[in-house]
Amino acid sequence: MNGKTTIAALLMTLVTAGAYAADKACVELKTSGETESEVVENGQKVKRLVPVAKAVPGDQIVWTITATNVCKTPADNVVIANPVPEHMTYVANSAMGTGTDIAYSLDGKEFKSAAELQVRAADGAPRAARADEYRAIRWTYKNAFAPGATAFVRYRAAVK
Amino acid sequence: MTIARHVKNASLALIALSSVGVLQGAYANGTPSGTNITNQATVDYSVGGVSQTQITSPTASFVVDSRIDFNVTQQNGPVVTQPGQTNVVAEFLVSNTGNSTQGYQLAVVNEATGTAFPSSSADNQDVANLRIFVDSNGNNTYDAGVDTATNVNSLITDSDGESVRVFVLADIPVAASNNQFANVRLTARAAVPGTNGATLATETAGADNPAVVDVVFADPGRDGTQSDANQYAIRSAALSVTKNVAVISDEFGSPNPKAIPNSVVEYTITVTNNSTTTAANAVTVTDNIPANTTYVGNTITLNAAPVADGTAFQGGPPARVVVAAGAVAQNGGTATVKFRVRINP
Repeated sequence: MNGKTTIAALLMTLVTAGAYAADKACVELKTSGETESEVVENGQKVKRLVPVAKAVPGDQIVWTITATNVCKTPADNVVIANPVPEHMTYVANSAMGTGTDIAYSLDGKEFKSAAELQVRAADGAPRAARADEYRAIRWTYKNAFAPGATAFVRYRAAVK
Repeated sequence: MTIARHVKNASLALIALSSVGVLQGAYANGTPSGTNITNQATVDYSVGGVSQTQITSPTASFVVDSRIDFNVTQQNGPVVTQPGQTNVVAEFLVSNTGNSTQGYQLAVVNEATGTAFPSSSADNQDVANLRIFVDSNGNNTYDAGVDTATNVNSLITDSDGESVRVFVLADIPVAASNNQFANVRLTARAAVPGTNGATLATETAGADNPAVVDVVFADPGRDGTQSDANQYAIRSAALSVTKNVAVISDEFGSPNPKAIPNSVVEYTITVTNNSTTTAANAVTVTDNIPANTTYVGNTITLNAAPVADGTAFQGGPPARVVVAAGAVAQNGGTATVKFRVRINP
C-alpha cells in the first residue's frame, strides 16, 4: 500500500462513511475455546492448545478472540470486549493482547485497569477486586488495523 | 505500513501463556455436568473516524463434562465388640464430591493380618459373614429389613455434596479373644447411576466431544475407586486362675505342720480378670475334692466371707466345691475361694 492510495481511501471514507456503516462489517470476529495439552515433541515437553478437551470443574479454558479487517480501509478504535462466560471465572493475569490496553469490569459496563478496580469489603472499606470477581474483559487496540490485518487476544477462565 | 506489520507480527509471535496452577479442590463439586458454557465476544471499531455497528462473534461453546470424584470414610471405628456377637455394624460414609449424579458398586473384605489402623492396633483377627447395607431411609442407623440395598443406586450432588451412610455387618467369632482386632475395608467403585451399581462407570477415551458429557475420573487414584477401612476391636474378659495349697494343722498341733495323714490343708483359688475394659459376669469356680482327702465342713469362703455348704458343696461323686463368684471387675479384679480338706488316714 502506498501513501497515495491511503489518502485516496481516506478521502473515500470521508465521503462515504455513512454507507460503510450500513453496508457490511469491516471486522470479522471469531471466538474459540481451547485447552492446553502437554505433548512431547522431539523429546521435549511442550504445551499446545488443542480444541476443548474434557472440561470438568477446575479445568481452564483458553479463550481466543480473533479480529480480522476484511475491508480495504483501515479500521481504528478497535475495541474487543468479552464477558467472562457464565459458570466460569477469569484466571488472574491471564489476559493478553499485543498492542492493546486491557481493562476489566465487575459489571460489564464500567471498565478499569486491574490496579484501579476496587470493591467494597464486608466492613465497607475498599479493596482491590479479585480476578475471580471480574465479569468482563476489554482490549483496546492502540493502533489501527490495516486492511487484511489479523490480531487476536486471549485469556484463561476456569470452569466453576 | 508499520502498523499492519506490527499487528501481523504480534499474531505470529509465540505466546507464552501464563501458567497459573489450577485451583484444585477450590470447587468441591462445581458446575453440574451437562451445563453448556457459551462465549461470545464483541468488537467496536471505527472506519475513517466513524463508529461502526458493533460486531458479535459466533458463539463458541462446550459442555461441562462429568468429573467423578468421591470419598469413602469410616465413621465409628474402632467398633468395640465382644466374641460371639452377631450383626455388629461398622459404618462408612460414601460422599459424592463430583459434579454428576453417581452410583457406586460396593464390596467389603477382611484386611490382611498386620494391616495397621489409625490410633489402634494392627489387624490380627478376621470377622465372619460380612454383609453390606446402604442406609436407604437416611436415618444414619441400620434398620434390619429396611436398609436392604447392597449398592448405591444413585447419589446426587449439590453445592455442598451429598453422602450416604453404608453399614457393614459382621459376626465376631466366638473363639476370638480379648484385644484382637479385625479390620474390614469397604471399596466403592463409581457406577452408572440407576444401575444399582451393576454397570461401572468408564472414563471416556480419546478426544473430547464438546457437545456431549464425557467422563473424567478425578478421585485421588484417577481410577474411579475409593476405599477405607474400619475396625472391630474385640474386648473380652481375660480371666486367669491360680490355685495354692497350705497346710493348716496336723494332729499333733505342730507349729510347722507337715502334710501327713490327718493334717488339714487349705486350697486357695484366685480368679483374676486382666482385661482393661471388660468385667466378667456370673463367674463360677468349681474344684473337685482331691483324691485321698475329705472335705472339712463349713470351710468354704468367697472373698473371706463364709459360704454355706448347702449352696457351695456337692457331695458327688465327685465331691466338689462349686462357688458362684458373681462379677469379677476388669483391671485386675479378683475372686478368691478357699476351702479345707483333711488328708485321709
